[in-house]
Amino acid sequence: MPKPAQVALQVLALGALGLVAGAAHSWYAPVHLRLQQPVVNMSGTPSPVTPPPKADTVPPATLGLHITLAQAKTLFDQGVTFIDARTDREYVLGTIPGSRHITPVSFSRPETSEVLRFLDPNQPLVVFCGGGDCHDSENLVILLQQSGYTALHIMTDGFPAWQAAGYEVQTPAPDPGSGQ
Amino acid sequence: MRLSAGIAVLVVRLALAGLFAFSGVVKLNDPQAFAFSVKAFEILPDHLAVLATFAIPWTELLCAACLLLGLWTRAAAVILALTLAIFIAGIASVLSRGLSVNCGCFGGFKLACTGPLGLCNILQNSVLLLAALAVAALGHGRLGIDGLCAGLETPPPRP
Repeated sequence: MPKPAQVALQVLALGALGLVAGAAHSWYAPVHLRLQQPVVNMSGTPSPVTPPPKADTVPPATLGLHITLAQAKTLFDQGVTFIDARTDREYVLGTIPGSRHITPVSFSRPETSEVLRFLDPNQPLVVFCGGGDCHDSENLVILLQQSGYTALHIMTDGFPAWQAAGYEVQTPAPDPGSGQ
Repeated sequence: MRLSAGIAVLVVRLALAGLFAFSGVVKLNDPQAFAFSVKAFEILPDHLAVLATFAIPWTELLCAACLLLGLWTRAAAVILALTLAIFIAGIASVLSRGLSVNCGCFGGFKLACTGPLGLCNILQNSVLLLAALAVAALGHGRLGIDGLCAGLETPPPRP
């Protein structure tokens, strides 16, 4: 049985090793850690409750941050750009037609900057991920807000709801410029 | 240590190793999400929150590896117990301030508790804390590098 002093030294050594590894990783991490929780828009206008306006009559400017599947479909039909924030593995299996693939992890990569160059910061964008507990949409929206994008919406129910509704899905071509 | 007790400790040790290895990998796989969780506790300043975002999962991974191998078992279990105690204190602090924070414990996966942090998370971490303390007190159990080293250090019985 090791002596207590020996265990204490091992505790210090393991703790120090974890700290050094963490510090080194944070130094070289290829992602931006944005810690500010969103202040603007994040609370958003709650989804309409009484009376629910028809989705196809709601202009993007009056929609809140979180939008329903029906509202997202309306925006899709109007030609609004969609952003798939899911991982590579999920994305290649199928996505909403015409979606750009940007994840929070790939956000700081040069390829993403190229994609963003073609997105007007004042035009509405709909971000989606896997629905449910997935945080990728919200994380990506925070990063986009900090990059100057102002008309952002999150399709809260995510891609599974889109697929379940029988809306159009496409299998994307290989996308070397994004991913996780 | 009796055979059955040794096997029980081995099972607990390996379960903790698997759980914390998974936890570490999930956090390192999506540091952005874990950073938001750390920040949402409103305890650490930004620069320490960034460090914690990476140091916590790396420490979990290192301790998981030690538990798996049975190397420095007690030390690894002590560190995990300390970490869990800090988590419990952090969750209690969040609850006392009435904050609504999602647990970044296992990324998008849930172990036993769903929804925002609550008493369930304190209970869950307390169970894990007890398991870590048991390993810290009892050592590596059956199979482990610590046991091999102890065997090498013990002089062979005289004929």
